[in-house]
Formats: sequence, C-alpha cells, structure tokens
Amino acid sequence: MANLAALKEAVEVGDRASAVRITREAVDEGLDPRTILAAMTAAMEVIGTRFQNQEIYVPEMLISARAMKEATAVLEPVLVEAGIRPQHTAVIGTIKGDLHDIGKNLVAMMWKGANIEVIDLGTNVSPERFVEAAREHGAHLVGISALLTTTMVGMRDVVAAIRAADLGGIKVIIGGAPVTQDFADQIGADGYAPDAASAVEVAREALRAG
Amino acid sequence: MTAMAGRPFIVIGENIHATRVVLRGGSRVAALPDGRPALPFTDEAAVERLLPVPDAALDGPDGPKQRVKHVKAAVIAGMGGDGAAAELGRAYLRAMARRQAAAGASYLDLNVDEVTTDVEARIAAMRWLVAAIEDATDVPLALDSSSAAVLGAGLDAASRRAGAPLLNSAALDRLDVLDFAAGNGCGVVLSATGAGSMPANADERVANGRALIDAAVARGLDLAALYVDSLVLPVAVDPEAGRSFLAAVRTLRAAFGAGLHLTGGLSNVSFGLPARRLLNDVFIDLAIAAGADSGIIDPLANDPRRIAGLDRGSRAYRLASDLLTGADPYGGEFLVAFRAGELA
Repeated sequence: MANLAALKEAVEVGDRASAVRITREAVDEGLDPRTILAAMTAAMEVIGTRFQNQEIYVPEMLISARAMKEATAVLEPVLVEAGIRPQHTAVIGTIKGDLHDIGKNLVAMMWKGANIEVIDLGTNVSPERFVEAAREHGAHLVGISALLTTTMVGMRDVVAAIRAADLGGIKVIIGGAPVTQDFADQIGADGYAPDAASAVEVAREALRAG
Repeated sequence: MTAMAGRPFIVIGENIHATRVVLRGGSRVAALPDGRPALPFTDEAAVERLLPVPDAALDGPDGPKQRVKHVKAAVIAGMGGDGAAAELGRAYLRAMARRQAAAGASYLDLNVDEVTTDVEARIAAMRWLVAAIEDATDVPLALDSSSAAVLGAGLDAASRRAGAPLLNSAALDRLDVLDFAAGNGCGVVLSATGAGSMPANADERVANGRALIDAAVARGLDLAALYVDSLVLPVAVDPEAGRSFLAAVRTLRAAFGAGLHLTGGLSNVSFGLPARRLLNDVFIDLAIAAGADSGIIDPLANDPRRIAGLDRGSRAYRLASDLLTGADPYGGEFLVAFRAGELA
C-alpha cells in the first residue's frame, strides 16, 4: 500500500526519487489521483510556512518544488484521463523592460505547488501579451513581478489593460522588491505578495473574494 | 598570491540605498513614547538621536516583523516635514556616510529609486541627497539608479569636492549613461545585464562586458574609468551563478590586464541563504582571487581588511566556497552545517 504520508515527507525534504517512486506505487494501486496530489500540495503548504518562518531557505523550497514537479509528471496522465484539471489558472511574467525573474520564478513554483496551473510568460512582458495570454488560457489570476522602480510603474498599464479587456472576475497579484501594498492599492491591483510563500495565500484570498 | 595582490580593493559602499530594510522589533529600530517606530543613531557630534519613521517608509503588515526602509525614511524626513524633522533626516544620512567612509568605502553609492514611484520626485530626491551628504566625508559619490535621468540629476547637483562621481550604471540598453560619463569626466560602472535577456553563463557575461567596453572606449573613455560589473546572481536559485561570475572576471582580467576595473554587487550571491556575512566574505575573497579589484559592497558588514585575514583552510570557508562555486549545489552540506552551528 503506497504511503501518502511518506510521499508528503519526501516532497517536504526534496527527495525526488522517493516522491516519484511512491507516486508510481500509488498510481499502480489505483488510488484516487486527487488524494495523491493533495499529499503533495499539503507538503508544499508546510514548505511555504517554514519558509515564511525562516526555518528553511530558498534552495530548500526549490528542491521540494522539483520533487513535486517530477512526481506530478508521473501523475499527470492519470489526472488527464480522469478529466481532473486544476481549479485555477494563472498567467505570470515580469513587467515590460524588466529582465529580473528570480522572484517571478519562485512565485510560479509556489503557485504550481498549490495546484494552480501556471502559464509562465517569461520576462519583459507587455500589457497586450498579459491580456492575450489571460484570454487564451481562461486565466483566473495574473501575476506581475518587477525588481526595478523604473519598470514597476508599468504595472499600472497592465492592470488597466486587464480591466479594459473584460476578462470576467480575473484577479491581478503584484510583487517584487520595490512593490508595496500602497502601490498595489494605487494601481488597483487585487493583491500584493511580499514574498513567494505568501503569494499562495494572497492568490487564494483574491480568488475567494470572487 | 592573487592576481591583484598589492592593489587596493575599491569599495563602492552600497548602503545608502532607499531599498535598505531593518526590522521593527530588531535592534536597529526603537519606539517613540507613542509606540511609533524610530531609528536610533549617533550623529556627527557624537550625540545619540532618534529619527521618527514616516509611514511611507513602512512596508508590510503592522507588527514586530514590519519592514522599515530606513534610508527612505531619512530621505523623506529630510526633504519634507518641519525644520527639526528635516534636520534629523539629514543628520541620519550624514552619519551613515561617515560610518561607510570610516569602514573603508572608496565611493558612497547613493540610490533613491525606491523613495517614490514618481520620476520627477525621484530626481528631486537624488539632488537633495547629493547636496545633503556630499560634504560629510572626503569620499567621492557613486550615483546609482536604473534611470539615466536620475543619474543626470545627481551629476548636476554634485560639487565634485572629493572628485567626480562614479555613475552606476550603464548597460547595453542604457548607453546614454556612457555619454554622461564621457562628457563629465566620470568613471562608470558597466552592468553586464543583456539588452534583451540576462546572461546565462560566463561567455554571455564576457560578451556583454566587451560590448560595453567597446562602446565606452569609442566615446573616448579610458579603461581606467570603467568598472565592469559581470552580474552576480544568487546561488540559491542557480548553483552555477557564482562560478559564472568568477569565470567572467578571470577572462576579462586576462584579456584587458590591470588597466580595467572589475567589480560586482557581490552580496547578491547569498540572497535566500543564511549566514550571509560568511558567504559574502568568502565570495569577495574568491572574486579578488579571480581578478576583481572592486566590489559594490557594504564595508561595515564585509570589511575587506577582515576578509584578507580569513582562514582559507577552515571548514567554514570550504563549505561556503563549495556552495558559491557550485560544488555543493543548493547548499545541502552548507545548510546542514549551518543548522548544526558549525559555521560560527
């Protein structure tokens, strides 16, 4: 019998081999793929909390996310076959003119860990591309990241373009070193995430607000 | 024996930045009788004083872990408010400048980009800051911004009493900064960030550096005025990042000889990791060994004199060095040692 507690543990410590092996066992035994996935998202939730409490550091968050990614790849065909898709989709990218993507990559990773489907648009993303991608993928969330104060101001244009595009109740979450809650309020963003771990909770809250 | 042995290490003191954060509840933040946060400091006349923190310099939810942007707080206080608050803000920054100079800074790097999102206000802040601290020390200024207009404003405001300011920085998409440097007799930092993407390895860093050096020389700048920043990225997210930077430094030093300055924002390497002082000390040491003769660092946190005396045979040095050069990817070994208290 596949041990889902051990799967959760394997993701928490970033043990890729064990995470993949247990996932395969669980799939072979015919366990509900949603239950298997839930063990992994629970692990990533623990990781996020530990990171926020400064009990673990960025590399450890990364290796946990990688363990989950490899194990999820094993699970993917089963999820597809059962018609199970993540409940929410996000598009994410750095603001136009900004090539700094470390923060954006960490947020994308944590959102994936929370079972949000993430479409990563990369760096230097124009407002038009954010809108197009959000429409194409039926996104519920848009994540925008900036490291530079000179580029950060462009977030206002993205928010305006999203609002003008009539994409339903789509939520815009912003973050990056120079970004503040005040700035998020000023430009009408739905949420501000001060770091990658809190981005998960901020996204959930924004989605709950409906 | 290092490539640059005997040459002074040029510290571009990075600490007078509006980005800099201290935590409420930490030793750097006190409280006023009404509970509002304030920054304790010792002014130029050795008097202990308290700078109240304006709300605009607070970041994140109220509470003991709230972040206080302390330089931003001083700039806002200095530029606005009543006479007494303005004098406190100015005194805070001048005291910082003197501490940086006493710790061995060769330049005082000034960055006001996060004071405000408004470009005109940012220009005004740079002008104000230059005037407020320029005569506090005998150390020349480095003007730091991602906006050429802000650099131009700082340049315009500088009296140059301690020498021409260093401009930080030009890049392939900011070549106009080279024109400022050439037209004003300034040194200039050349940032190896690419025009459309970040350099992924040592070769791309070198290629960007060379393209910038060529552009600078074509404008009549001497090699001795150029400080190539080969871009330090965190090893926490890319185990090769430190090694790529060091390899680029070695290549550029071999290609251009001693006439060119090689620098970098060396403390970036330890983002997302614990024991940052140790990691930064060791990375500065490795950078010097690779041929760097300058660093954009905080000399109060990473004193080059202490670094020169590091025990390179110690276990802590080896663990840090392995993490920084990709031999201990993601710091498995380093983090175990850190948690066991073995890096102290």
